[in-house]
Amino acid sequence: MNCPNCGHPNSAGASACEQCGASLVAAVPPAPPPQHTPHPAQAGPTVPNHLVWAILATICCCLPTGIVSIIYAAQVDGKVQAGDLAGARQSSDNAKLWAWISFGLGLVGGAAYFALAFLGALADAGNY
Amino acid sequence: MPATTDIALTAGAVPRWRGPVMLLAIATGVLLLWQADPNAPGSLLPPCVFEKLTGLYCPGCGATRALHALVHGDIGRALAMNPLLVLSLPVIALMLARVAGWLPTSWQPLTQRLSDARPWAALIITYAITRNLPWPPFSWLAPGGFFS
Repeated sequence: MNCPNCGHPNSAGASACEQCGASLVAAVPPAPPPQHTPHPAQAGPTVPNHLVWAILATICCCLPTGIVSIIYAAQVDGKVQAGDLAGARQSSDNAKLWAWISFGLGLVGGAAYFALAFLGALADAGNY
Repeated sequence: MPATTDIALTAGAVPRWRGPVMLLAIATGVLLLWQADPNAPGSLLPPCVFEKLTGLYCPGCGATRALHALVHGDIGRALAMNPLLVLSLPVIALMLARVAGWLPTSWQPLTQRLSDARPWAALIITYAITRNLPWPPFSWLAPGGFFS
């Protein structure tokens, strides 16, 4: 059998690896190689709902688009529970997209506010 | 077994820079709130644009003032400015730690239940509506509503 440590092909019945000395007896049972499963089946398939970003976008950017993101996030969990993985992934992408849109709009709004405040300060300064 | 490690990487791996970048962003925010006062007229911190445009309170209205009060240790004032935000901060912190990949796996069941988006959606939409109602106790949900 092949040594699980170094891969050296040992003769059958050897209790320790002839190459590196690793025990072959103890290593045999806990060596079922994980099969090529796309999802960890025990934990159930997980599709990220991007909820934190949706909440933060709603709080920071004060935009209805943040709510849209939260609603898509809720759809993700509903569809995962119903077994609709493709739909869940689609909602997941939408949740992410709308969170980013919210952050983007928030940044643009913030920049506009800064620009206006700056111009206002300049105009005030001109009065003196 | 290169194939299995690839799957492990794509399934649950988190980019290593994500946690530190998030910490840096939080530290910057705290520092900014420590220095700038959103209650002062013409403050560096922007007001809620949605409220300026529509006159309505959104779920995030008062968040800056609440966090400012919290950074300065005034929990009562923070709660008055945005109660839902202050109460859900510990949960948000947990969810952020999970996104950063800093939560031990034994916490996964708890955080997974906490990040079910359906109750959150219901809660936040209800909050958005009720904080605009003019009667107590709903009016206490508006920014500073408890003090007026």
